[in-house]
Amino acid sequence: MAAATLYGQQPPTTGAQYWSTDPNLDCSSAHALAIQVPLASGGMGTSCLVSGTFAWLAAGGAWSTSIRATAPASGAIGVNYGFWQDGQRISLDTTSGNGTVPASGNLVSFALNANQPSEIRLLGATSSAPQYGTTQTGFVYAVFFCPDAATCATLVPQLLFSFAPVKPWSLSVPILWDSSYSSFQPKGILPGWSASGISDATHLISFAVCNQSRTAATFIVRVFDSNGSLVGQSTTPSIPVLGTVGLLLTDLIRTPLPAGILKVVIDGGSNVSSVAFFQFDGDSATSLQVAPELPRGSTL
Amino acid sequence: MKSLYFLGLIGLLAAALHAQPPTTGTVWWSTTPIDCSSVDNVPAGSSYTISLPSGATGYYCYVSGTFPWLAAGSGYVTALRVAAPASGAVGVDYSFYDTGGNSQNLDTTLAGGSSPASGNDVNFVLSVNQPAEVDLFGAQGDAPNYSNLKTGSVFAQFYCPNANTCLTVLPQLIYSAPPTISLSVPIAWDGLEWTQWSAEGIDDGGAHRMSLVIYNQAKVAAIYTVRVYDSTGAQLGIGTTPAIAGYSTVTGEAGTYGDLLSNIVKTSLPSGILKVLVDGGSNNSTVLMLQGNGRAIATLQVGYDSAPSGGSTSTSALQTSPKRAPSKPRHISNPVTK
Repeated sequence: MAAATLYGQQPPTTGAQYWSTDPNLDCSSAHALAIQVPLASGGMGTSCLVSGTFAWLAAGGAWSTSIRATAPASGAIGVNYGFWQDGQRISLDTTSGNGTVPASGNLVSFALNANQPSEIRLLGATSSAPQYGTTQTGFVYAVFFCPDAATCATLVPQLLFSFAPVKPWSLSVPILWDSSYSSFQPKGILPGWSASGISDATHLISFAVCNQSRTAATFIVRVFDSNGSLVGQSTTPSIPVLGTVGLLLTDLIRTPLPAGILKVVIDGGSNVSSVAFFQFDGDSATSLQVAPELPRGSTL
Repeated sequence: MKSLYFLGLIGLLAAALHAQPPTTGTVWWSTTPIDCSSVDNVPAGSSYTISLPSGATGYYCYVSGTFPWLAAGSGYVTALRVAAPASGAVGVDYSFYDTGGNSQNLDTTLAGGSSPASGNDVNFVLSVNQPAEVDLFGAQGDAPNYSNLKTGSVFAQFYCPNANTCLTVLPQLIYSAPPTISLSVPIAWDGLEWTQWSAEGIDDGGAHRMSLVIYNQAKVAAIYTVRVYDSTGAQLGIGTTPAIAGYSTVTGEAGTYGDLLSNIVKTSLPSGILKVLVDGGSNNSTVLMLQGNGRAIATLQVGYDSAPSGGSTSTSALQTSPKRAPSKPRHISNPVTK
């Protein structure tokens, strides 16, 4: 990620104190960056910084997305959510708290006190208000600022996107961290990923691939049957840098797949990605656990 | 989690309860010494060993963890999914427990088999890239309708021929009640249990409801405090769970408890976003939280937190290369050093 571009503006410094006054703040125990924060009151604070990607958002056209985060008991946090599509920032209408009047922008920035939860609701493209009849998709890049390493090391934000009440689909998208910050924040940018699912007459597998490499890239999709035999292979369309694409497995693998459990691998070769998988089972749907898929001989 | 507490007490019994995966098919071990120290709590350069039918020695890495909730019967089916990574074969062992931590016999099928087998343990081996699904239908004897709901937990063990394979294997539990409910339960790897957990959700007493599962990772029965904070960060509700059983001296597994948030915290809650903190004091746990939104339900991300008394989080507990095993698993032999 082009850090300077993606981190965007800093959260407001007039409320919750997500920075330290210690200019030598040590963020290394959480493997986080330490950055300077110019304060509205004058002077300079220092924050630890962790960042990651929600690989999919869907807002408008009966889809809704909400992003939830809470400051840990150990400290306040600053939060930036940036909205991206095909390598560009996109402007979305959002609401938060009990607010019903949408705000428009390609970045939402705020600060939370210790134990304070937040929910940002994405309604759709600003241009499609107030009905939001068009579905916008893309990804969210999230940046968190903390007054100490331990606070950053415990953050676990969440994106939920839903098609309710049309269908009872409420799908969780975990954040995919830019680096391994702590036990609960494993690195979410790797060359290969896999998940186990079923794709038959009543079950569908879908996935989102966010290209985290420095050039546009295609990704190979391989499907293995319950014997571990390769039964299907295809390639995604070219995905631009900082672009994400959502696909049904059957969009790519046109040949019938065997009944039963399948392993689906997303292989970028030398190109890294962040991936989310979903399983649809009739009217129900859930997120799938996505595992790193390492080439032989390589390590995490 | 299988606690060290039981190592000296029932080590031999445990070996009989949970057989290692078969050694007559796919090779889930290495024939040469390997280093498992990046994933398991073994000395650098060492691994576990097994005596093979041929008389030779096999070397393997081991990881383990708990799915804190299962639901089978009365319309629910639980599916356990896992695939072997490209880096190596995997031996798998799943064992089933009730909400008190006692072994539980369930009817299961593996690989789409049509005739359920009954038992409290399923083990098998997967070749490279091979996926598997084990379906849990309900109690033994309840077939074919399985009208009684059985809940509890699943303990999962994985045996690998190299550290990378054990580092990347990632199983999943999905429990569903067709046609509308399908919920994912992530595994809680041993070594990642903790004392306080939190998630954010909405519980307005109407369409939005939260529920939670607490798996006690303590040696003794424990009561957990659940605190709710509103959108300003102010605590506005508190409740406690019933006592949840600690590790059984027979099975080594502990109890698990699931309920609606509103059954634990009786205070009327506001309609906006809430933070829910599960506080075990000094008792470790694993926590799962769910968000209901009408007919749609999703699993919430649960984060590591700290006590509201202001105790700081130890970053040493947040190591970036976590082991996926307790300090000493009790089901397998001692590690060897090369």
